Amino acid sequence: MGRYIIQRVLAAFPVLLIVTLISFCIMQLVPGDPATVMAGPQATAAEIDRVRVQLGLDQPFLTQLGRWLWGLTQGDLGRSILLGRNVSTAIAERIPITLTLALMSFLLTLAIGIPCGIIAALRANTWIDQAVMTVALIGVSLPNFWLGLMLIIFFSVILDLMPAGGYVSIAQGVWPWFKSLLLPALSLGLLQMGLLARITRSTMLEVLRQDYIRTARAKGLPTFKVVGKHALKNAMIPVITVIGIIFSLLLTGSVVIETVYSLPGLGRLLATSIFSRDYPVIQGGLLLTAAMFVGINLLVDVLYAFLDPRVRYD
Amino acid sequence: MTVRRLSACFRTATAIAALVAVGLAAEPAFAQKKGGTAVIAQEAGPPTLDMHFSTNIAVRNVVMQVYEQLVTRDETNAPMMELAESFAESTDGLTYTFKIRKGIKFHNGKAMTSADVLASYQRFARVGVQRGFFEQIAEMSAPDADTFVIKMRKRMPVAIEEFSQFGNPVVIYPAEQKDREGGKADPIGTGPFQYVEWVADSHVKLKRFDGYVPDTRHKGTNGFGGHKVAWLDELDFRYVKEPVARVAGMETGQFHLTEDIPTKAAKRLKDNKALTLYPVQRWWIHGAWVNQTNPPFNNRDIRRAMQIGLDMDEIMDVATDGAFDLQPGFQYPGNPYYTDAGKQYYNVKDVKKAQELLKTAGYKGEEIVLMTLPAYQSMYDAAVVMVEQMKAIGFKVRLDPVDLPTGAARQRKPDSGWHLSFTGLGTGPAVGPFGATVLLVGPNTLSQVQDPTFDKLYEEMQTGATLDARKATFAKLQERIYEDVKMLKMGDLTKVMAARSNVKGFIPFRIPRLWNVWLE
Repeated sequence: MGRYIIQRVLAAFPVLLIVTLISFCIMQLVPGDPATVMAGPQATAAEIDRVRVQLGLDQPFLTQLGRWLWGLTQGDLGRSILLGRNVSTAIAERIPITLTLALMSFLLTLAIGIPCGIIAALRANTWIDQAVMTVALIGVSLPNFWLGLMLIIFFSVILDLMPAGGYVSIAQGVWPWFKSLLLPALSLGLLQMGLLARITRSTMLEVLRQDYIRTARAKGLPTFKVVGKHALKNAMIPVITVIGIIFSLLLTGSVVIETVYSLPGLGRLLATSIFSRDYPVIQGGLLLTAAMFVGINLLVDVLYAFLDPRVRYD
Repeated sequence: MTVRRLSACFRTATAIAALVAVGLAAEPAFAQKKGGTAVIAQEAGPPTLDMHFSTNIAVRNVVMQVYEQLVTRDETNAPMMELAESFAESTDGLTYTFKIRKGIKFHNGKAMTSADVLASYQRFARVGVQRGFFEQIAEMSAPDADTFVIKMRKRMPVAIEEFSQFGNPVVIYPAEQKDREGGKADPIGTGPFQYVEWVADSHVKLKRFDGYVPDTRHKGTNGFGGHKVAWLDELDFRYVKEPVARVAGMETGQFHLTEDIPTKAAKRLKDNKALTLYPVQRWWIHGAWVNQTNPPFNNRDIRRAMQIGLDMDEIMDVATDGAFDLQPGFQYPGNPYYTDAGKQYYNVKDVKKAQELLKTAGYKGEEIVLMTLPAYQSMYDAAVVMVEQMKAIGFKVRLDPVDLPTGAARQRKPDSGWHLSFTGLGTGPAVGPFGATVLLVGPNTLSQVQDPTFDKLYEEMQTGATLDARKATFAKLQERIYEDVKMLKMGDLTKVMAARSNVKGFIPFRIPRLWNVWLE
């Protein structure tokens, strides 16, 4: 197993390098640069050119790429053009918010999605199943930015129970902190809850039809033991794959939700940087996101081995 | 040096400013209360806090609470003195001598002298975005601690208008910042609020500067100057891009003030007693640059067919939900330079005549591309309506929505496939006739074809000896914009600011001014 993990980590480097090169090239191809944003819309072309020179954006493509790669070899993600600080510092300041949001959303997804899927499978083809699956379908179909706005209007404006946006640090109180993240986590997680409920239902249904389940029932085991001990564990292999994907999606989905709720996390940093063409931050953010995807995939593969003794990587 | 007093324009402006200031100071003094934090939700975050290095309004909104200018603009956008105690112009019009107010301190505790003013002007001449005018300066000096002198290369009667412009304000930094590169100056000023914290994509925090010395020549808020008092302990500017979140935050009391409420929401909120809405008429001019190099728009008759066929009432109504004014000027009524020159081409909405002109001009059905910015809903909506109107005239039209940096980059490239590039002229027209027309001057004109006649008129306006002479030249410039179809003006948009009802003393302006404002 240890050898396998080392191989996978080493194999990640070319992937990350390719991500870096592609993102660098794409950003160079997209029209517009930070000079236009910095100078503002009232600036003339000559004024923007002067700002461009001062920001060092007049350097040739290969010079800029070489400088970025050289910095990368020394662990330096560069300096943000618009934030006035190192990219790694800017990311380090924001990543805890994004990870907390993704984790809270992830826990909500697991706590609601898996039980709903199990209940629907156990009550397959009844009104309960249909009701759960209808709600799951709605969850999968709703765009999360729209859901976010609706939740703000309902819980903040109409009921006045939750803040309309903004982040409160845990140092200012656990309850205000929790409230500042609850609506964003729900908005982010609803789609994934629906997805997880549907996957859990279908895999559970398949497992429940297996001979060993019939045997377990025939032995007279109570339903909760049949489901909890025999069915659920075996249904978890495909579910774990989906869970890995879901966590990755929750991390990337934060780009939209953090913007809607004005949360100063990595997602909003990336969105702001893209719209202002802050190249170093975009590249650093994408590199980190790609690294997280690679890491989550590796973790999922390792989890397989723990859940299914038949899986061996050596 | 023989000295004569201020120009007629400047004197008149000062008189108006005094009247306005008295009027605006009407709030009873006993009602004012020190303390509290005002949370201000704004649409965009500032890309920098260095005022010399940006014309971005998000920057001005925040840092004009922190910095001050030698000369600035009053409530009517006319020049007024701020850190200058007095000002004189030599009879040959080449030398401007400013006396600096005494006792002013920077936020770092250092006393401000003419050396700081000189260093700030020198820095602006080096890194300022709109430093083009500074090329007309022959020499600057600070002969003593209270005096700052500017010598021009040639007579420039509009010099004070340029030094007081607030598109890219020439704010005064401590002299130690002189050699800082653009975007790298420390946020230290002389204003009523001082810098605390900036998290670029999140918020900026400011606090009251207890060492602030108000300008006792005035009695209240007046443009960017006047008698300023910081009643609030702290200002917390938060970047809230999503309009629904801004409105919700205002309704729940999470925010005290916002610079922009969508018109539809404003209609719903007008009876909400917890909020006060402040419609600011003529916030910006909705328009579109016309690419005169891209066929068939290299044919003026075809451009004219579009110009006279469009219905600006309908376009502006849909774009702004009824929050607009129609007038042909690139200055606003009441402004010293206002003119309706070119009105015969504005909002003609004669589709039949346009169709005939299109036929005789030899239009062969070439596709017209309308490049617009969905980030600004009103611009996008205006473009959608215009597509339909142009189709009715007989044009083949395609909408090309792009993000802001893409639009800004492409509109400066004539061969990047657009015919109309939608824009909003906000600060430019408010600053004056130069700001309103500068983007059409020279080889980098946004109409893409340099017009020597237009350039000559612009130069003539800069050197016009009297206000009347400059006004006459501006009328010719405006006429030329219409006559040559360099830009389509649609109308003037009304922006709605909002404050919670417990926010007192707030007077809407082009930036939210948080001095002389308190919480009840």
